[in-house]
Amino acid sequence: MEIELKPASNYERKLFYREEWDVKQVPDFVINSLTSREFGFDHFGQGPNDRYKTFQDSLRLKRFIKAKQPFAAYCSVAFYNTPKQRKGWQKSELVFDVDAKDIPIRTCDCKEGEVCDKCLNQAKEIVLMIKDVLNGEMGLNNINMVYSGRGYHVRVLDENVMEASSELRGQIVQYVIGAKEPDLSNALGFTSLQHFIIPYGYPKNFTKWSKYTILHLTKESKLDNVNNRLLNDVIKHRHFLEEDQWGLFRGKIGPIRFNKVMSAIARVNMNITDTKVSIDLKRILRLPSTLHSKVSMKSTLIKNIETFDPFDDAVPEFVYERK
Amino acid sequence: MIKTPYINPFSTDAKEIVSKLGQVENLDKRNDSLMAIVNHTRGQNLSDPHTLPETLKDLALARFEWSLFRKSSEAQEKKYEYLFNQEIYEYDVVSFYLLCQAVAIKYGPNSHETKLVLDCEEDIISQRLELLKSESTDFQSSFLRKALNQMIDTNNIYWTELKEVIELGKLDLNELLLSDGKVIIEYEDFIAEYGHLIYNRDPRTMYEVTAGVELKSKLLLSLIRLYTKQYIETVYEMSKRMVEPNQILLDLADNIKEVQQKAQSLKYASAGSSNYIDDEPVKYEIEAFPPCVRKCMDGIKSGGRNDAIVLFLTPFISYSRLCPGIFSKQEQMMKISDIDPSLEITHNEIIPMIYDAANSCSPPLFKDQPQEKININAKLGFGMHTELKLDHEGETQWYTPMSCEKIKLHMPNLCTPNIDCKKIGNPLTFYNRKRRIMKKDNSTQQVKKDGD
Repeated sequence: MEIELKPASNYERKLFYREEWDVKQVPDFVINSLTSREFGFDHFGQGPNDRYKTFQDSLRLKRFIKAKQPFAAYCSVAFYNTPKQRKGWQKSELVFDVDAKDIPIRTCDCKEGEVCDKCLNQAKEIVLMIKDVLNGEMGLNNINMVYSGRGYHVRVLDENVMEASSELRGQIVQYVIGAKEPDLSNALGFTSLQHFIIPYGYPKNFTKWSKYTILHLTKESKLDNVNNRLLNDVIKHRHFLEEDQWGLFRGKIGPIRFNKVMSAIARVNMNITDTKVSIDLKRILRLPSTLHSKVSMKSTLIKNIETFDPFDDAVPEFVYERK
Repeated sequence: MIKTPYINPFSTDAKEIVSKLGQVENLDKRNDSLMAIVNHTRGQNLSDPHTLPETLKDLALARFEWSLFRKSSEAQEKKYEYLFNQEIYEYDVVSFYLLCQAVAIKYGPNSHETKLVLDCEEDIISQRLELLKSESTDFQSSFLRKALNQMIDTNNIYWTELKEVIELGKLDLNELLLSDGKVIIEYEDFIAEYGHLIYNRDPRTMYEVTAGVELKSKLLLSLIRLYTKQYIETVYEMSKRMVEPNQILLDLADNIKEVQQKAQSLKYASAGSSNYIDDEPVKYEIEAFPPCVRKCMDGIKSGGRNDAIVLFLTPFISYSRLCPGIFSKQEQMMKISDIDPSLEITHNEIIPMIYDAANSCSPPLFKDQPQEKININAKLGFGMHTELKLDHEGETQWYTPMSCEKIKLHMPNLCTPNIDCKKIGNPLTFYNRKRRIMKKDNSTQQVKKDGD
């Protein structure tokens, strides 16, 4: 059956919250810190304007949601002493928001603001790469992945980073998604050093993301300071990168033009996730288990990302009953 | 043999020295052995004996003077040659702590004076490390290992333990080699971790170009800065409980202020007639606007409009017209009415320019979000009101322009750097620099014309 990503009707929404939604599907990492978090609700589809909500326990959360059947439900990434006033900030989850509709290098034919099977899959690839860096190089634990309805959230609850400031988060994001050209100036004065000959550290990470980005460029991609001819040359010669033959690729493009391309690619990488979300210590994110009413999908905590398929695992019952 | 305290005032032997030499009664006493070291320093300029330190307190002030004046006149350099004589290390350490205590007690940890002392220490140590470069790489490497290991374990440290160091902004996370959260600093760890990945290249060279002595130096400098900052905070907290602060420290604090004022006036005097680091209104020079501002003035597409117009453009347009020198001022809590008391410029030039940009957005910003007008007033310091009135001023803060780093994170699409953006940290700095260059170009052209 072809699943159509169309808005849920009021009736469908009510049906969902009455029959299908269960407070037990709210992840433990939220329930365990319920009283420290701020909740926000969008009751009529005009944005989350009912904020500063708090709940003493999961029973009260359940009653509220069952009764209000909100258009959208959110909870803070922040933990507060007094969440009701958003005061006494203690710490926040470290978040990466990958929205399929905002991926700068989509290869599907989606219109602006729409998502499909293909770009959602791309979002999943990206999330996996993010998790790899967080887990591998950064050595972080307690990484949760959530399907948000139109993309993915990576939510890190490792105590080692939860108290990090906005500035530090900015640096972490740039590292994780390869958003900065590596500084290759060095004490020995080597000018021929290239990021792709360094098989470790940040340069390796930057090379990996740049490869992904370049392999997903299309003729329609817009790159700063890169004209159509250069873009076409990049696409023509990118097959070298599939074998990690960066030297040959650079040779074909030419060293000056190559530098131009790489600066532009670093900026594309920066847009792979919504960096604003990552550096915001007080952001609210869609509450896993609740309905994304604009697309009729269920925000879902992912148990196994390898096998997760939103069209199997995040579709509310009522969608199957549509005619 | 170089002693570690000469490079690291937080090493264990440094602490011993302080407890040995740092008695209060000695601080303001003529110290013959210090004077002997100064006089026997190679290359020391001895022509003006009055300027040479006779006491530990003098030495503390001299350290501060060196860092403030070293950029303003090169001839001064040989005057402080003794600071780079390794034999001074014991007195140097004591005077370092003296300097910290003086600013902590009198000015507190968040003062401009504290910042200058932090910069001073960084300058001195990095200059000393620079001189160390004449030694072999192996020597430097093992010396730095020793100095670092007084603070961290270089064979076993996680990046999350260096969070505060990274937050100082002197060392980027992406300069660290990370593996499973561990930071690879020493060569043996580098080989164990990455050796098998390196083919056809000399591993030692790879280590030196991607980490090596340079990384260790940077890490050491950042750690010293952090420890100094924390030390000043501790002294400050303790001083609040103290009945009577030591008079020598208070005197030193006053001297610091004098030196700093002298340096300040020298800086402005040397700036001469140039009125580019000023706090007076200057007419817009649109040609000198950085690319991000120009892009923003041409209008922004839906999705990024609010941040671009309210958070980014509003501060830039207001400060560039009224107080482009804000970042070189000490007092940064300014009000618009300090400069534009009648708000004439604000109403006639600043607001129209911001509104023009807002209207060039697609869709025009105020069409669907009229409340952003209030937000613009708020960012100018006039509270959350529909009208911009003097009565409301001060209810909110006049936001200073965002740094390039912040812009890249908040509005990545806005930043398309051009050649002039290199080494610039804030669009307003770009503007000031560009105006200066444009003026210089103009006047040279003028001279040429006159000459023709």
